[in-house]
Amino acid sequence: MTLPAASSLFHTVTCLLSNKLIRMTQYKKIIALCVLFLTLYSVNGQVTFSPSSFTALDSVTLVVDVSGTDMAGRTEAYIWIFSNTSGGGKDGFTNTAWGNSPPSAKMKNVGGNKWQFGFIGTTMFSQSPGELKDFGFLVKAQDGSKQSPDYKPYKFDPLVFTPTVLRIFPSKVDLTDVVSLNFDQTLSTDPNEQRMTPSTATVGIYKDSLDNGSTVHIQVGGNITLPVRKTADQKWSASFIPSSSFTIPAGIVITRFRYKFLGTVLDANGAPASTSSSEGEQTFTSMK
Amino acid sequence: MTFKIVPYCLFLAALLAAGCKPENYKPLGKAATPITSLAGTWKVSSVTQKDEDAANKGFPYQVTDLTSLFPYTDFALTLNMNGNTPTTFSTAPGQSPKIITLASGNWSADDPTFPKVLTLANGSDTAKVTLGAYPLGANPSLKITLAKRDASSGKLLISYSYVFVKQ
Repeated sequence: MTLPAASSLFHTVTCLLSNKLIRMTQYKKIIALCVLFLTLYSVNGQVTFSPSSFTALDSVTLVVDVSGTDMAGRTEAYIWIFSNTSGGGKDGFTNTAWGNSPPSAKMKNVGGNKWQFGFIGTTMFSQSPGELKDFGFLVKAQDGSKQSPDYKPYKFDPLVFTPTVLRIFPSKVDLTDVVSLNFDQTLSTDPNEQRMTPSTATVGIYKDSLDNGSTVHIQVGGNITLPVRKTADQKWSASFIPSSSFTIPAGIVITRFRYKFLGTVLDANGAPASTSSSEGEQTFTSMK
Repeated sequence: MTFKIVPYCLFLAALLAAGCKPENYKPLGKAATPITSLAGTWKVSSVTQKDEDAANKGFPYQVTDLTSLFPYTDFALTLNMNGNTPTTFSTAPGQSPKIITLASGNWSADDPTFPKVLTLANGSDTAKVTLGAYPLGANPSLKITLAKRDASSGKLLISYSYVFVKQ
C-alpha cells in the first residue's frame, strides 16, 4: 500500500469513528421510521374479500393478514365468527367451544401470515338474509391460547332495497367513479334534519390502520366541501370524483369515505343556526 | 245442379302457374362498412351512469345523467383511419373528467367491418370501449360504453354510456 493511500484510509477510519455515535443515532431513527412505515403498510387492507361485495346468500372467501398480532407466525389458525356486530347477532356454527375449535373452523394458510376462509352468511349464522346486516371475526389458536383482534364490521349487501336518509349512487364505487351523495329529508325522524336547509356537503377519506390490536380508520387529508343541488322537494344531492377531489399520498390505501350535509335551521328568534345531517360512511370497492 | 270441378281445378292451376314468375329485384349494392363511420373527431354530448348492481337486483335508482354535473362536453376523441384500417387516435379532455386516460396512440377493432369493441393503446397501456351504436343513417351519434367490474369476481357493477357527436 502506498503512503497516500494509507493516509487516505486512516482519514476515512478516523472520520467514521468520530461520527460513529451520531451515525448510530441517525440509523436508529431511520430504522424506527422504516419499522413504523412497514407496520402501517402491513396493516393497510388486512382483510380482503372475494368477491369484494356479497350478499348473505353469496359464497365469500376472506383472506386476513395477521402480521403484527399474537397470531403472527402460527402454523395453524381457526376462525371465530359472529354476525350483526351492533346487536342481534349470532355465533357462526363453527364457534362450538373457545377452547377447542372444530375442524370446520380451520383456516387455510395462503402464504406467510395470511389465512383464508370461505363461507355463506345464511348457512354460517342460520339467519335469514333480511336478518343479516354485517359480521365480524377473529383468528385464534385451536385451544384459544392466542387470538387476533376483532376484524369488524363487514357488511352484507342487501337483497331488498331499503330507503334511507343518506344514500350514495351508485351503491358501489371506487376512487375514480362519479359519486353522488343523496339526502332525503322525508325519511328522517330527526327534527333538525327534517327542518334544515342544506347548503353544502362535506366529505373525508380514510385509511385502515391498527391501534392497540384494533382496526381504526384514520382520515387522510382534510375534508372537502361540495355544493348541494335540490333534486326534488326535500331531496338534495352533491357529487364528486374521489381521485380528482382528493390528493392521495403514494402508498396509502384509501378504504372508505364519510360524508354529511351541512345547512341551517331557524332558531326560536327566526335567526339561522348551523346544523348538519347524520354522517354516512361508504367503503370503496376494488374495480377493474 | 251438377258441379263441374275439373274445369275449375284446371283454371286454378293455370292461375297459380301464371303467378310463379321471378320478381325483378334490384341488386343490393355495395356491402356496408360501419367501421368507416367511426373516423373523425367526436365530442361528448351526454353521459349517463348506470348502477348495474342495482339494476340486477331490481332496485330503484338505477341510472343518473351526469352531463350537467361535470364538464364532460369538453371531451373530444379523434379516430384516424387509412381507408378501412384504424390507425391513430388522440383525446383532448379539456376540463372534463378523464373518460379515456390515454392522450394518444393507436386504435384497433375486434372486427374489421362490424366492430363491437375498440381497443385504444399506447405502449402497454390500453383502454377498451364497447360500441353502443354505429353513427349511421338517421342516428349519426357515436355511442360507447365503459364497464367497471368487481376486481376479484368480474361482476359488472357500473357502466358509463357516452354519446358523441361528430365535429
